[in-house]
Amino acid sequence: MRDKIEALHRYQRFSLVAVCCAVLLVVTFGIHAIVTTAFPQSAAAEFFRAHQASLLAAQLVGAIALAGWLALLKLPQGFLRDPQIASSLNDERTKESAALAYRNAFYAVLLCQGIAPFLLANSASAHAVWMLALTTLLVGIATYAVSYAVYAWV
Amino acid sequence: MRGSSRFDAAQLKNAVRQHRSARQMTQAELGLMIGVSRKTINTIENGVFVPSTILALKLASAFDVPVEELFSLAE
Repeated sequence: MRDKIEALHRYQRFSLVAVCCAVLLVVTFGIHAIVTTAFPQSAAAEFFRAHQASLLAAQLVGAIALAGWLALLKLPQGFLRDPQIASSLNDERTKESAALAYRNAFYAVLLCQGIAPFLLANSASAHAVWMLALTTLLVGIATYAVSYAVYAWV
Repeated sequence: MRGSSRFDAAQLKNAVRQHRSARQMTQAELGLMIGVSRKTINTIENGVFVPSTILALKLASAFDVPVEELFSLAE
């Protein structure tokens, strides 16, 4: 029982770190793409070009994968196949958190679809439709991930 | 849990913490026993999350008490 609880806590800590890294990754990629496409002459775009945001993002992916491997190597054999563990990792509160996060993301996407066209109309971007799609996607994913993290862990 | 369920949570009293403490169990042990996370037990005890009937029955079964002894409506 003690071993299972410790393994469960380790797995949950890793999941939390992975979600935070994923949010950071999506936000970094998204802002990088939006800024460099819609506002190529801005100071922010200059900053991204100077600091190679995509390289940073690629390193983050590598770090997440490495951390995942290390965490999984330490887990006991058949950890995720254990019915008690599987049940506690996907309990009703987790499912409700996911459903609420999905609802928030849906509203955020609707709001974004209403506001973003007006903002992008002033950016004089040659890729307005592409930018609108990207912004909507970024807002949806980020809202889902942040909402889920808040509901599940706070 | 949140939104409309927050009102429900205020209406529900529970004695999960008392029963768990009496048996000297941790939240994690109880969670694993009935197949939920430690956080779920914590939020039930604090009145943040209203469990389903199935989960309430599992808790009652784990403590071997009637479900009415664990959960009741606030006056």
